[in-house]
Amino acid sequence: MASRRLGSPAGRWIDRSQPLGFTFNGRRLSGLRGDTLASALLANDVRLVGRSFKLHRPRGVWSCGLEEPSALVDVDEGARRTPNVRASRLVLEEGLSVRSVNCWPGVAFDLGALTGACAALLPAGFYYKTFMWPSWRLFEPSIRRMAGLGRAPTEPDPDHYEEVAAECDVLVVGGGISGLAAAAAAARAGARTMLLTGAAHPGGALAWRADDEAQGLARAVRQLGVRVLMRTLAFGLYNHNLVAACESLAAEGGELPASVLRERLWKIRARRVIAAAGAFERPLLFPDNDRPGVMLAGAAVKYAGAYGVACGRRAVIAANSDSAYAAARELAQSGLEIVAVIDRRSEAPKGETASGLRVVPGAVVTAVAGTRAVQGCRVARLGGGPRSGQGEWLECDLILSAGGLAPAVHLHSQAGGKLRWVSESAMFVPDGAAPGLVSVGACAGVFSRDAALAHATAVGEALAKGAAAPTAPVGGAGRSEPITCVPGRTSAQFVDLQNDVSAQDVALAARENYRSVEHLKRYTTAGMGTDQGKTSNINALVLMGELTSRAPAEVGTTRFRPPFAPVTLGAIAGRRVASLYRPLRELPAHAWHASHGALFETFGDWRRPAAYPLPGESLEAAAQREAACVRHHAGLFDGSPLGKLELFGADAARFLDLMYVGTMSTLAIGQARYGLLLNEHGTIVDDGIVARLGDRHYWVNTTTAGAERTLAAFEEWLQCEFTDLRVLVTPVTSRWGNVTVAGPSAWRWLEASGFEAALAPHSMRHMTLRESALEGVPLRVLRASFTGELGYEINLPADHASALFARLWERAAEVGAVLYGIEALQLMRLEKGYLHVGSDTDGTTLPGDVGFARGIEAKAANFVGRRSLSRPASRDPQRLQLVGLKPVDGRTALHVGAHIASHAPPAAIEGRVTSSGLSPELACPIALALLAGGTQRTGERVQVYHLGVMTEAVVVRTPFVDPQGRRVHG
Amino acid sequence: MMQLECPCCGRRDESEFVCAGTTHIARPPPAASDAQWGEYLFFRDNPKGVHLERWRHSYGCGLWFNVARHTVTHEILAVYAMTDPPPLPAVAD
Amino acid sequence: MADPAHSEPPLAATGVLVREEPMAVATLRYFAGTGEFVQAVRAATGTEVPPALGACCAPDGQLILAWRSPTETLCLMPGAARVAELTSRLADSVDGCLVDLSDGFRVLRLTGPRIADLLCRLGGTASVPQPGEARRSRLADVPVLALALRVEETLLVIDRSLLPHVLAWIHATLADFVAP
Repeated sequence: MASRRLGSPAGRWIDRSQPLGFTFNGRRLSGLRGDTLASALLANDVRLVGRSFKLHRPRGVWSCGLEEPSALVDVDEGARRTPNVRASRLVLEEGLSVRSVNCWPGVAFDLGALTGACAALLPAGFYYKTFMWPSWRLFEPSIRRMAGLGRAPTEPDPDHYEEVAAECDVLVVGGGISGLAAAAAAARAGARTMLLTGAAHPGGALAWRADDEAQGLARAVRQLGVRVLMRTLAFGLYNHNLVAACESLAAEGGELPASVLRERLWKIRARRVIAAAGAFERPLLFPDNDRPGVMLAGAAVKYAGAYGVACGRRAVIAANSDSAYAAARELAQSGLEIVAVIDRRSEAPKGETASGLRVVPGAVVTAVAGTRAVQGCRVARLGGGPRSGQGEWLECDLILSAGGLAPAVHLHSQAGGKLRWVSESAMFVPDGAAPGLVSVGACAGVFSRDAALAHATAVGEALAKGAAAPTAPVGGAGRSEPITCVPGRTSAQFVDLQNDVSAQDVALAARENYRSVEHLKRYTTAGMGTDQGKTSNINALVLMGELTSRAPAEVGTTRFRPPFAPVTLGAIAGRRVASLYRPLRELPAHAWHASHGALFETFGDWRRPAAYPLPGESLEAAAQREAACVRHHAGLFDGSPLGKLELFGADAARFLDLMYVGTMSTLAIGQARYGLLLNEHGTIVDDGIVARLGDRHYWVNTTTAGAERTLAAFEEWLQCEFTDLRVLVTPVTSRWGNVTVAGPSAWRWLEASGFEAALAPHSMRHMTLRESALEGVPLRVLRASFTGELGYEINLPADHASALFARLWERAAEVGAVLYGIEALQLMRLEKGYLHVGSDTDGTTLPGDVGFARGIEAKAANFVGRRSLSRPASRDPQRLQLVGLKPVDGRTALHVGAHIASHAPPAAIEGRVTSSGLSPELACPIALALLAGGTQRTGERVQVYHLGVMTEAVVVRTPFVDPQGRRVHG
Repeated sequence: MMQLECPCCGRRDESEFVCAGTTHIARPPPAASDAQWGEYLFFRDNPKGVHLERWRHSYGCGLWFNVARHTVTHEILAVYAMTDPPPLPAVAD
Repeated sequence: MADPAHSEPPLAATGVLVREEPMAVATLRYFAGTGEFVQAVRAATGTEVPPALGACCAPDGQLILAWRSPTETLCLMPGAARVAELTSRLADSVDGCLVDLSDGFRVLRLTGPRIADLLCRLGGTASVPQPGEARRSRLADVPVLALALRVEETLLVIDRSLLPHVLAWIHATLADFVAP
């Protein structure tokens, strides 16, 4: 047994009295309370954890933190399955069930591993070069099956998530001693301070050590009132210091209730941010450096100290930094045998060679034996022209990589900060502060403890007081050389373990003349995995520098973008799922419609009755029945969502003349007129009816979808251009319900229901508005019609809408009336050829294209968009113009969106169908279409192409029904 | 997400506002030539630097106002009334 | 017609109670905060229209005035009679107008020490009013006016058609409220 649990008292975070059972690929194993999945697997001597993304190479635990590239698992099954969870971050729970990713039939025997044998055939850019002919799409499905990691669940997520907004003066990201010191100082100086840490324990790198100062600082931070959020990982810094962080609230896997609040997304607006995110360890590259049993040196130290787990018995340490020696000493104390430190540098630190530790300076690991677990390695001195097979053989089951340190500069970069290269330690550090953000501690490149504490304290205080932050005393990381791979070897030396990018891939990219590190990244996919290259970015760019004879500072880093670590889609969606996915509006009489058989559908923002089907009746049949009944008797419709505005002011009339095609200033009080609203391009953006309520007072009906748009346009023109006009625009859409009664029997119905005689069609003409009342409830009754029938739009305070529906419905049988929904309304307006803005118009449609050319010429006043209508392009007789279409056979439906063309594609497109339906009145399909030069083509036969079928249609004039327009008058 | 300082309501998140693009564009008279009108409708500078633009606090007080914003850093250099002249020029870096 | 009765049942959680308050609503629109209309309002209500972001109560305690924009103040009152009275007293003005918006808005009264905890889960810290403040902002992805006259009490004024959406969001949020 190689990796194993150490004896007591090793393992500060584990509770040896609380064993926990879990399953790994169906195998029952046991861990301890306080373990992560990674530590528990290592304690059970499980070295092989998963298979790699592209080559299916066996992989094990590589790190002890969120940088983990290899040990990814799918947690749980069914709806709660979470793919690609890092074993090093997954807290062990009783009953936890996990599976390895990207292997079939199993992790030990994986058929996909055959690709690993062909690794040389799968270099960077392989897919782009190879699978182009005849079409990438031919190869994509099988490649997608082979490549990839975990499996996403297919069922809806049973858990829920929330989002919280917060603000503070100083936000500290990171709970290590530097972060704690900065937070304490900021709070002491009076700033509202928050501190976020992704860890479950404060103290950062020292959290698992008995460090009195770290514990003391953690206590002080709480006593000073700092708002501390544990298990809350800041994953992004966005414009103007908005920090997004994800708080884990529930365990992953194990026994859970039916639905839990699983994560909380924090959106924190901070005046100043202090980054205290620490540093990552940089691995060394050598042949087969991805074998299970090769891992980061610091990780092995932490597994021993925090979890009481020895990652192996006999360890070789591959070093390029002074930190290797501290790791060697600590691991030796934990009971591991340190075979040797293989130091790439020509000189080991003074004194280390005298400690009894075997140190081989100026040497590298040249080969690793063992596929599913390390069995030994070969080491050779550099400079002696190492070739495969030469050098000394060392038997070991663990190879630790200590290549130096890489400050976590992610937040600094996201804030727009610059980096500088520190050559002696081969690392990038923040070059001063970023806008709104200052780095402290290891992520600032400050590795000596006392200097870090003093600097962090000074920064916390300075930012709290609005002063400039002191410069970071960068140093203390020790020596590390900016070199990476072992020269002259053919076996893969992995730069990015997660995406299977090797030094050879980077070399290929260099040979193909990729110079920019951003291009290198995309071509090789280095750093594009879920770990975002935490342990690979620096090596990749150092290597790129070596290959192109540039210093790392010249090569530069790729841009660090959020998220810093993977975030679940659930956390980002928060409450915005299912019925809260987006705000939907409810009709005032929603419940009444529901109790009268309405079939609700979503139209724009509104839930509205599409129709009122009888038992067993389809939506289409219901719409036909309802429309026919309105044409011959009467119908009742809820038009409440129609946009409504009241305009008040001395210049209201002038302003409406400017806004609409259609002169509104000449309306008499009580009169109403149709208007088209244009933008400055002359394009139709809305239509509606404007009625005059008083000398300086107008009522404007917009379309339902155009209510917000029209209000915004009015306000923009009033506030930004026509600033001398005195007009107040008040939206009143929700104040007024709209109960619409239409059909030849509409008035008889209203009269029987108690409406005053003054509303009768002979005394109240079409397109007039009258203020009335019914039993004390004020009404604004508009004679208008979108059905082509005698119509009354009865506007009344919305709380009374249900009562009016009920009152009218009581007498519906007397006139043979029905309730009708949107579908029937659309059929009737189509029969009348009435325009539906947004369906029959697009972003290029001008009034002349839909039959309003004469209205424009007749109007004396200027209006918005008018100048655009006189451009040559606006007067082109071949513009798309709205026409009617009927199938020549009188049977075949013409589909909305179908193209009009002389023959099947490829063909020049002459137009398209914009509205379509089966006319209840004519009992045949009818359609509206935008057709090039359409108004001159009446009677012409055209071909309508839809999904491979051509249908012959004839261009006709609209309206299809009641061409003289007599019926609206009753 | 940026924050903007609404002249009435104070600092608010960008999601409460709508932006209508470049501001201070003079509207030509109806007698303008096609070329002048086309310039007005379609031609805009796209500066890497200070951009003067028009915003509305649509989820709040509904006020339209002008903003001078640096298009690279998103630094807000000025917020001023719709009818005010620009307090600084729009300049490319 | 039958007098409408509308009210959602109250929602409660540790530290916050949400109940719907039937109120009549009217808006005062004017061109300038100093004109003849605003003076007529003062005569009719006994109070000045509030300054930007302000909310106040008329001396009789029955009328709440809340700033909405440089040209608008919203009035909340217990019943339609008061709207009618205000309407008639302001009818002759040419410098502004009153528009009855009753039925167009729903008012939620939030009470308790954890109002801010609830509001910051609906979208924003900008939505938390201090006593004497009225803030229009984005809550639950829709525009809402939040106003406070005293501590531990906030009124939310919401477009009626969006009330079910906002209530569903509040309901889901309160279900996860645990003692702090």
